Amino acid sequence: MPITAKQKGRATQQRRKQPPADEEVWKAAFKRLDKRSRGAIAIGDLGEALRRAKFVLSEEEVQDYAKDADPDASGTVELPNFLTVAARAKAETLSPEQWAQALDEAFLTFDKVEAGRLKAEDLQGWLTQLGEPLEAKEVAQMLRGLVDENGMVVYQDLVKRLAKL
Amino acid sequence: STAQSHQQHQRVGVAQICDTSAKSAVSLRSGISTRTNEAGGQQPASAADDIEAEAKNEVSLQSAVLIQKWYRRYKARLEARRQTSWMIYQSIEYSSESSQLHLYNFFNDMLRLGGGGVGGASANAGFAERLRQKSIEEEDEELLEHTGYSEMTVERNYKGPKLSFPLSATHVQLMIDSFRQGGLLHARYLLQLLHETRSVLKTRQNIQLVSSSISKQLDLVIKMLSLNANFHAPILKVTVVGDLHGKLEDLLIVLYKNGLPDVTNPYIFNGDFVDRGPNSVEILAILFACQLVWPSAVFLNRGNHEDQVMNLRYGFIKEVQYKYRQTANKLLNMFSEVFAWMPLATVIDDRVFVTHGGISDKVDLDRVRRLDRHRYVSVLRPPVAKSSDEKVDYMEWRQVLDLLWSDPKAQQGCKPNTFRGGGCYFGPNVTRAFLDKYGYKLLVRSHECKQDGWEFCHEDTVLTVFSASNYYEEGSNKGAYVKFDSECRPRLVQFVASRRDKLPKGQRLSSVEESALRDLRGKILASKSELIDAFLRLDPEKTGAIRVSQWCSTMEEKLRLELPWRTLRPHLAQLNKDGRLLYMSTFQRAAIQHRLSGGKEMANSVTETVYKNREELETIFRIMDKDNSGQISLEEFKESCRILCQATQRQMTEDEVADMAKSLDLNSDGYIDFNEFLEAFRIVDYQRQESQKRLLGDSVQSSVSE
Repeated sequence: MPITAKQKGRATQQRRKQPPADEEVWKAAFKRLDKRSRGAIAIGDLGEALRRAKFVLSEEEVQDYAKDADPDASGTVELPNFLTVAARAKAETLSPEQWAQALDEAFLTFDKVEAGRLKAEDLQGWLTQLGEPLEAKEVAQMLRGLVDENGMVVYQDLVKRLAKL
Repeated sequence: STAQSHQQHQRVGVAQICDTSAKSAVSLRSGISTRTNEAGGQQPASAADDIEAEAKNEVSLQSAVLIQKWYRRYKARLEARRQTSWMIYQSIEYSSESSQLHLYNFFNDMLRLGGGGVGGASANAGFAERLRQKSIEEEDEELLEHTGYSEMTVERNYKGPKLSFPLSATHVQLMIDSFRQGGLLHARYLLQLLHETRSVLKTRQNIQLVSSSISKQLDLVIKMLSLNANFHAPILKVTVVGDLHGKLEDLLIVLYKNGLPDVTNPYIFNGDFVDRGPNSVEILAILFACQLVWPSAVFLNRGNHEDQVMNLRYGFIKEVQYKYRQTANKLLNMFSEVFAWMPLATVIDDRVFVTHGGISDKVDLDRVRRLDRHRYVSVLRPPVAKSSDEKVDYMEWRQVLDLLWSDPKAQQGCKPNTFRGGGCYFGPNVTRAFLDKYGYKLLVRSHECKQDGWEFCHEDTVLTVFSASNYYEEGSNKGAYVKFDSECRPRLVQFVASRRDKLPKGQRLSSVEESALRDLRGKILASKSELIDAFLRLDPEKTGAIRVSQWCSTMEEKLRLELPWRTLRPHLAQLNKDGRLLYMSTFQRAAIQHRLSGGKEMANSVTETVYKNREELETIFRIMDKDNSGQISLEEFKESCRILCQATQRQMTEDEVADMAKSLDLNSDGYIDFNEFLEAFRIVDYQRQESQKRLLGDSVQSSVSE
């Protein structure tokens, strides 16, 4: 009997809900940064590791978690502590749908006339000066291919790109 | 109005999100009234308005942080994906190299069997002779006779670079300009260049020495002349360039960024100049020309690809044949000669040891200095014997093999490099022992592609430098070279040679990833029969499903690619609703994908065997086809059938072979070309297919059909 789309969908949903699968993702993210297989990563790499584990975090939030991740302030994060922090992050995080909406609205903040478009130059300015600034190079990379000949960006496209991975 | 309330609603949303970040002090009202104000088109002017302005700023700040958070995660996820594709490429590449060595071993065995065995002594002898390396004990005059160029003329309409010997810097520039535009160096010039280069390389030691400071004597003289006690002789920076693999653009970038070699700008080129890329010939031409023009400033180390056996398989020989047709043979002989004369390592200032692959716990530099490197025409074959009863000195051979083929690994100790099939895996303790024994501070090597073009390991005592950017695919890696100052401190320079840089990072990565997955699926299909056997054994009740972990270990056991199978599973196989893996879907998707991507029909084990053996077959064919005519005689074909049967352990009777031979000589001229040769090896295994079908049962098969 062929597998129906519904069955497939159910299977997918079940997979998403299984905590063990998450732990695999977290472990894998940790391992990639622990190149020498010491069972620990540098505290400076905590943000990268969490982001590779699919968490969306600001630098400030990472700092917050850093205290838990490295309780004895040794400068390194061991795997068990990392997993605890990841579990906490998961509990505090929003669902993907909520995130997508939030991202949409964030852009809307800058889009005074609700045109669905923003000037790439302005976006560059905001993202390199406000909040936790990115480098100009990073913004350029983020916007590559999305800027039309008038220098405008349809930010819906950007949302899609950022939310895809 | 609805528009306004819509705006209000959305403003609330952002504020909520900001609150979860636990930092915002935004007043919702201020936010909303700011909006309303702007809709009205008037600027705020009172104290209350100031608070509103500040609140507005706060919201902008939080929005900015939100977008920035997302970008940072996106970037990290891209990195993670890149690393996964990377691992796929690496494992596929190395598994290719090891099969090359297995093939060589197989031929070696066959040579031992050859004398007076199957098929009659004379036939065997002829064949064995063909396979054996042409004797290289010829004197220089004899060599010149066979690879002479003096009678060759250059046509009047020749548009490529014109050389005259002795070469000068102008010629080098001429060649660079011409090659950049697709010019081809005339065979006559190339041959002379090779002869001259061979003469120069003959005079070099196995381990070359380069110094980063002009000689002390000269130093003293200059000091005296300038009467300046504080005068320091100019310090030269030595540049080390890694694998180029026929990628001309990368070499040109290095020469452009770093300048042409000269007395004040010495270079060490660390091997693997050829194979895979399209301009191996041009790279060699430029490097050899530089060697001639600036002999004291250019140091070439031999790489594992400066080797006839490797070139047969990885494209250099094809390139030469394509570009030079009739003179290809002469050129290939000369290239082979020059490769054999390339030194094995270079030392900078008695502090930095530079070699192509690495070291092992058995490396003995005194032995290396004493050996006759010229006898190793191919590093994968024993050295050419000086007399017929001379025994092979395996310890000496191992020295060369280890230097050119080894890889550093994190684990301590020294193990044979089974992945590649030659050289060792050496650990940090081996490096430490080596450096201490000889008083060196750093080992520089190439041989492995690195994403950033360079990588330190063994606590910064080993530096890998790789100079072929985009080695696997557009966007796969950067290239790099390293410069050492007088204190032997390294400075790394990265670059990427690609003009097609228009795709944004996410998309570029996808094509790298897709390409890697496609390769992987191809490999999976090629081992379909073995995999199905194994899966069936794990599923005695024929449910069609096994545990994911079982699938992972089976894939690794059969394919030996050391990949993260669990991570890759979503791309390769499906699960049923209980979370168990439907193992037949491994091939279904592969087959579908393959067809979609324009691959051949892969549904049966017949084609699968051909695909698996295609590379081997092509290599064998080329060895058979000694005169490079693209054809082999029927007799030779029959011989090769016999050999391949032994290798694949499938039996064919003499009659079957003869029948096949006859039926495949499509134009009945007594010769078989390569396509006919390939066709010949559709080794049909009906029984196996049939029995698999019976075991599996029709029900299970149809349950996974989409």
